[in-house]
Amino acid sequence: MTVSPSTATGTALSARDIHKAFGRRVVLAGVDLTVRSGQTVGVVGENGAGKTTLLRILSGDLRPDQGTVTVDGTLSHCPQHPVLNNALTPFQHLRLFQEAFRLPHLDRAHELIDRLAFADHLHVPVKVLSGGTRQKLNLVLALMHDPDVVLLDEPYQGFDWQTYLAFWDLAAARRAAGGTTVVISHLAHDIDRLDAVIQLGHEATVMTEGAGR
Amino acid sequence: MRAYRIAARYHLAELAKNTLAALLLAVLIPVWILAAPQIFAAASLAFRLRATGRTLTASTDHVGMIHGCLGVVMLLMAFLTFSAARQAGPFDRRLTAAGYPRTPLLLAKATSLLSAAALVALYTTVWTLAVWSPRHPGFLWLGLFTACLVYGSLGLVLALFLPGELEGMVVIFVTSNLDLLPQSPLVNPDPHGFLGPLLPMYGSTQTCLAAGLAPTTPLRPVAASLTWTAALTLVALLAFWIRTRERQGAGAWTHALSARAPRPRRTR
Repeated sequence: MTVSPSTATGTALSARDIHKAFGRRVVLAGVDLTVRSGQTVGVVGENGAGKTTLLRILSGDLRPDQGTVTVDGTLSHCPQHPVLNNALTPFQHLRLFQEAFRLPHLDRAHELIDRLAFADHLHVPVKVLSGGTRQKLNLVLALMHDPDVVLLDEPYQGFDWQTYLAFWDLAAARRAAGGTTVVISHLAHDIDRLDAVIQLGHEATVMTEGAGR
Repeated sequence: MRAYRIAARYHLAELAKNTLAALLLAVLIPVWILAAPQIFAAASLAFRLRATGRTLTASTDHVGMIHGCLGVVMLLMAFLTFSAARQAGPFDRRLTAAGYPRTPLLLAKATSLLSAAALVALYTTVWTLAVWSPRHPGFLWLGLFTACLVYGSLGLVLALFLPGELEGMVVIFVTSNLDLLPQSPLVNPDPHGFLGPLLPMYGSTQTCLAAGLAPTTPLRPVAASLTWTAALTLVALLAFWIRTRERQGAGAWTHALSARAPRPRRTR
């Protein structure tokens, strides 16, 4: 199972010979991939094909049984299910992550919040927020420091159509600024917005360059 | 320092927002203290205080009051910390992976545990003083404080290994009952055997009984409680340190190497 780049310019993220099994169930068997700087790449595949497992391994959140991941630059991961603290407000989350990322101010975070339209919920405990708003906060925490490489696991679950479009505007702006984005995506809807698509399958992993551009 | 201040402020706010625990504490402690004389006979009870070896004689309702208050505060503190730790586990991993310094985060957690324990013990001591005059009120607070610390840190440890809230509450409930029951003079007025002093609640119960009823206040039970607290806290801290041991920062790096090389390694 090999996914290789068409050119060798500025590799932002690469994985070599990734294997992962949960018990006797083999999820990833020798996945290789290379993502160049500035690309927006989709990861697609059937349920259970290992998309989330691959992203967790790429982010360092999960250890593979075998294989190597190399990242050039800062990396951020937006998990599939929002990882938030229910007792805290979105603003308190921003303050904690401002400290974590050592950001001098929260201007970029507020810009993202305005684009995703949830500024009205900044001082409400997360536990009373809707699923979509929690997902918006989950996404802002992953993007607020403008990481070089960002891994997004179905980041628009629960978004309404306008927010879904706003998300792809943000992705396009990241691409224009040279940021690299890997997103678990739904091929039918999103192919036109991607530079390349990685198709995970039980038999083979295939990368299609220039998928929609 | 700023990282510590922010985390400590939010951790304390998080604990304070556990309204069920706050409500149970606010209601159960005065109810138990006021109800104890209506539940226990006003008879005197002779029992041996193991920490001093002396036999004490006390009113049954005072012994029942101490036993009940300890039961309430230990359960509530374990519930409070278990619930907060389970809630915060994955979030703390995300926060530290993003670069939040771990030492201030740990110190903030310790601060919130100590503050909650001190407040719960103070609230209980004040209510006790409203209806009774224990011999050494400061030591009564200390005994309750150590009970809160022991079970607060037990809650942290259980949150590491138990899958859900229900499992946690069952384990906390059963453990606290088995732990506290043999310490009570009401059921065990002449304790024997080597096992009793090794139980987590031995120190706190002996301290509270001595504080309320004995002429002197032995320090050894306090040391026993602090030893339990230290051991349990150490387990929780080690688990936190291991689980948040991830790559941080910028630059080119390699991670997720083969199982034979378990630690992340930077390539330049």
